[in-house]
Amino acid sequence: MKGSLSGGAIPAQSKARRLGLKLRRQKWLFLMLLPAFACVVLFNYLPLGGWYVAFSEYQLGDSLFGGKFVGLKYFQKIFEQSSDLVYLIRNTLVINGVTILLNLTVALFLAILLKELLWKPGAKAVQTVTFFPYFVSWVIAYSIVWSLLSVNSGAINQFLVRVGVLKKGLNILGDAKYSWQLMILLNLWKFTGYNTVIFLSAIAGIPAEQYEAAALDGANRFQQMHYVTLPNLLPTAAVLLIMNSGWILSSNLEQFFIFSNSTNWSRMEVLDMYIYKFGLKMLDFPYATAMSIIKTIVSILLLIFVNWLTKRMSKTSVL
Amino acid sequence: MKKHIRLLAILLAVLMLGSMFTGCAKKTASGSASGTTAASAGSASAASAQSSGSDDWDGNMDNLYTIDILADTSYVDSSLDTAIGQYIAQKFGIAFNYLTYSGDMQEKQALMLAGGDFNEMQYMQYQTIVQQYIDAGALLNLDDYKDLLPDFYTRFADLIPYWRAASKDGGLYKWESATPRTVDTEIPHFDIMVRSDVLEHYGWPNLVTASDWKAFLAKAVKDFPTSYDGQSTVGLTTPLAESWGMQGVAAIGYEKGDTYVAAGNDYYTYNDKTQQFEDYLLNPEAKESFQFFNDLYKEGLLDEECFTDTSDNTLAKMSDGRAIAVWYMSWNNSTANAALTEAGHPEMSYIQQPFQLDSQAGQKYTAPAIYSYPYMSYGVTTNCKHPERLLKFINWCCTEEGQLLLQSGIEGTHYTVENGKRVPTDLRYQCSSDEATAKKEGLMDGDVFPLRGLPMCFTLAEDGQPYNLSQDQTYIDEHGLSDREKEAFAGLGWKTSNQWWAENVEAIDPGYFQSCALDTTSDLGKVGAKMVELRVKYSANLLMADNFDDVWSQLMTEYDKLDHQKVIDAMNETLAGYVAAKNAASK
Repeated sequence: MKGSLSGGAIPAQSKARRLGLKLRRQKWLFLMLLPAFACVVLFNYLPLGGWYVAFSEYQLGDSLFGGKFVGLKYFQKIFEQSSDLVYLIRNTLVINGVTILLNLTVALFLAILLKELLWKPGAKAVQTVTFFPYFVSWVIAYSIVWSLLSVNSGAINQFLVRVGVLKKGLNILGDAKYSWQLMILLNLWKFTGYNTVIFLSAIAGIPAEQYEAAALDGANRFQQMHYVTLPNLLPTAAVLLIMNSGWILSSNLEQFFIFSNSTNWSRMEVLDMYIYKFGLKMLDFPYATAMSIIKTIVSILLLIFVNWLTKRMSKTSVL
Repeated sequence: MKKHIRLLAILLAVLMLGSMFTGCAKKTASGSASGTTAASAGSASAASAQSSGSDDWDGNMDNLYTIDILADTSYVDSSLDTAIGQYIAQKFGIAFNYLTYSGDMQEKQALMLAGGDFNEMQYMQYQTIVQQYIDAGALLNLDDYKDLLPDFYTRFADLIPYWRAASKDGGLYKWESATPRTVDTEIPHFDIMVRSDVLEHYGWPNLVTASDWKAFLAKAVKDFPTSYDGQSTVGLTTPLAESWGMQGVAAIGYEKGDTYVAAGNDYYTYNDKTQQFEDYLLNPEAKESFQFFNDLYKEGLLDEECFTDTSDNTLAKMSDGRAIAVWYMSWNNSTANAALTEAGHPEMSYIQQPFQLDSQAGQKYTAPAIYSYPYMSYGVTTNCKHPERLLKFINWCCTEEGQLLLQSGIEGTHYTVENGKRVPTDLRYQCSSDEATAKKEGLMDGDVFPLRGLPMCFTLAEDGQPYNLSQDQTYIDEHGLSDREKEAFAGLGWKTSNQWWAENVEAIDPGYFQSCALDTTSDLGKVGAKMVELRVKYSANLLMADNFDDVWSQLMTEYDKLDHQKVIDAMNETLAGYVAAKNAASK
């Protein structure tokens, strides 16, 4: 048994020794961790050096650090052109915000329902079917949506016109008023299965004794769901909420690239599409990089804020 | 157990590190795989070594110099898949791999430049990208290799001044494929494709003006409500969801008269009468073109799906006859007509018909000879391993022998010479009717496929015939049209399939206007990009407006917030600069 220390600060040498001891004992685990850590550094942190582009007059073909330093010129430009950003940020926040809340809520309840389903093969089948869309690319998803919902030739529109529900097909792909709903529902279709799996694994970790104790106390299934399952799932939901809140300003570029067109841009165009347009299509790399930096900083601040909020409300936090 | 964990940890770490760095490994030299393909006896005839560059090669087909070329469309993966490519490989030891990219080509080319990952011979689409490559020092100055390019400089003597316009230092960094094009070989028109059975039903009317077409479509949609498979027809459709769709074709009616000339999809048009650039959106004929579409939309004659349709969707509607008429997309006629014939409905085949705005009625259709076609710019880059060898071959392409090979094929195989004139063989005719044969031989009708990137002039050869025999009007009418198409033109009383354009097109000398472009990263260039963006964003609203003038006013209010006139003035200054330099050089 190690000698106990009297109260007060732990001597620094002892701390260092303990750290060294820990590293030696767990060296193989650290070795296993090393490649992943190297990947993260190489592909996530090292490229941050490219942020210099936002502060310079970068030209295509130059080295990353070859452009003339211009300070905050491009950041200033962003705020001068802020009228462009109003509808972009609105679209991004609405689509992503509702997507996050709806996805987590639906996934939570689907996980609970799957857990409650007594016929396990059926539950597995539902889980597999709901998970499958996660692997479908957005290009395929667009083809499916087009074949179902295009104005004149979409299967659903044709059916509804034939049975007299509609006089003319709904222009869901081309009419801006449907854009938000379309994107939110598509995200729900695509990611519900994935989020459900996370909640199911959290449910699997709930000690069976809690259910037994609740049953002994006379709780029926709904009450067990309410008093055991849900409270145990809330930390997982909180963690997912915190992590997703950092992504609220980021959109899946592939998704919006494919679904955007000249008729629905007012409610479909999101911040990442704007950055893509300026960065790659108009070759204004410094402007696009500056916009990305601002987006990253705001996302980090949002993440910290949501983390603080959930910590205050539920004692759960990630950071 | 601990030992096993240790071993597992080491193995896992090594595997993960190895897989992580594999992707980062430098790309090795490309092309050796196709270079080892043995040349087939085929129809390629062996050629003796000439001073055109073949003396750089040892004749060993295992040592081919293979060059990658980026292409937005390619009918073959390698030039070695074609007879002409085989001939070139045997003569020069050079082959080309065609790397197809179907996304935004300029974006791809920009990324290649940013990563230094451009090809040895680089395709650059439009002048702005060419300028980026030149500014980055990625292209070789062909003037430094002038002694290797005597035929190149001779053949393109009239065009080279326009090609030099891309660079700030006056150097020559590129050539443009499919240039020059004159009306002797190609009458440019992308007007309206229409189902011939509908024309026949109404007694083969001669439709030209917007009013003609509106009246025709209004009747046609009622009299032909479904296609052969029961699907509802649409009046006029076009793929507005394409990147060039809303930006380029909605207002393109402006170029069908005698004032404004086709000048691309940007923020300017070119007024041939004043010889000045004008603002695209403020062009009255562009507005009239938008109004034509709006009128069609309000009357239910414009396909509602066209705003979300790509070329494939439009082709599908042509292939099953759902589209009574199609705007602009003429290059899919033969594919669609073949599909209709296969479905047992050749009578529905599409033919191209002219279009002019009402205000252009009676005017000549001004078409510029194309001396500068930045859309198809190519250059030799600093990544080129053997620039002298490549340029010697490029120079040979510019000889009469080279142009005949690239465009007419191999003498004795694809054509014979009778009384000094080239006569196509049956094999050549087969290339016009069978795509598989065309790909195998390397000869496509009226096009630059499949050997993209090489200098090709769409002009008359020394024997007075077009280099590409399929551009001869007689050839087009006898071998390029289906029986139904011939019947349709006969029904219209046309002697040739291009009769209306042959009678009404007025060829003009374009001067430098096709070479002008502002740097996209300059302040004015960015304003130009915003002008285009605003136009594209409002275009759908204009086309679908209940009150066109209201929406137009809103657009103008927004448009006036941009310094658009400064941008046009800058374009005109650029043009004036080129003209002044040319005049000074000629004194």
